[in-house]
Amino acid sequence: MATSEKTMEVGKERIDRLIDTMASLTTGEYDVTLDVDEKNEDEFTQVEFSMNFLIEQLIYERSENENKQQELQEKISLIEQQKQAIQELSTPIIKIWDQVLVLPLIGTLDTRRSQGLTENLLTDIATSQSKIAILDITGVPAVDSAVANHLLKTVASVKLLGAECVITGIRPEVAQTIVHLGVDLTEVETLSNLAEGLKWAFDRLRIRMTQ
Amino acid sequence: MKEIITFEPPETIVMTLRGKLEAEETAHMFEKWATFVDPSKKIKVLVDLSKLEEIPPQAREALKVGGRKFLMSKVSSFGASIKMRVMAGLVLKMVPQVDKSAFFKTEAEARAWLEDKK
Repeated sequence: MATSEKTMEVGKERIDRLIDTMASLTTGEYDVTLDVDEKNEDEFTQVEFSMNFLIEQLIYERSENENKQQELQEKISLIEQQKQAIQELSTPIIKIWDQVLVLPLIGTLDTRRSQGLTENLLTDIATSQSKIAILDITGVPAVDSAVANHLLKTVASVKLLGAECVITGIRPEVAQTIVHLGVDLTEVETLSNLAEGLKWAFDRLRIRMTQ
Repeated sequence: MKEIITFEPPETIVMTLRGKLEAEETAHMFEKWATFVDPSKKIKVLVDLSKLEEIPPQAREALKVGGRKFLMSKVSSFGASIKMRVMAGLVLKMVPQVDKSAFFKTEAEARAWLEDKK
């Protein structure tokens, strides 16, 4: 190849091979290698080798990305499992008396958790043939309109199963929020605390407690 | 570590790189440099590339990162195949801490340039 200080001639075949290689890379096909004639080395040989090094780098980066994605998926899966476990632990349903279930709720109630507790409660009512469900939300610092409406639906669903539901332990700030949101809880039995809830339950079941 | 690293006072690191360069070994290589020289002072580097076969992507990154911790007035290499000469040249471009670099066929030529005799 004729070479001057500023210019050089490069065979069309080499240019075509380079462009073919770039075309593969541009369309996501990294499984290519540019043939390099090491015996007849010239300035353009550097370009050809550099292209092959670039391909190696791209393959390496892609592999690293795939590994990281795999790791991320595994972590997401683990987080989902842990979330599920926490959810189950955080919404226990206690059979406190024959035909009386208590759900002591602690922490933030979101829509997902509310839906979960409704499903579990209805299943337990059906299984245990309970007549009373006490939803104690003393440990719930705040609710939004979606959650408040979901609690209403929970009460309604319990009624459809032939049981009764009372909500106890509504905090003052939660009460204010519910009123402010315009959620109508007039049809829902509410009591100040769990103890009152238990008394109400025994009363409904005509169970007399004596001291 | 399969790389051989020595020091020729007052300021020259002499290295032989062999086979396939591993990222971890490359990082240790620069740790060894730091035992010979003060990273804040300019040094010269003489590298035998005649036995070097491959620098994979992880090792390239390690060379770049490690090299940037030192100040090099000259890096003189010898014996490299065309492939390794191109690769080493690309990596050296990414280390602005290298003032000058050159490739030679023989050790004698490489040393002469390093000592300003060429």
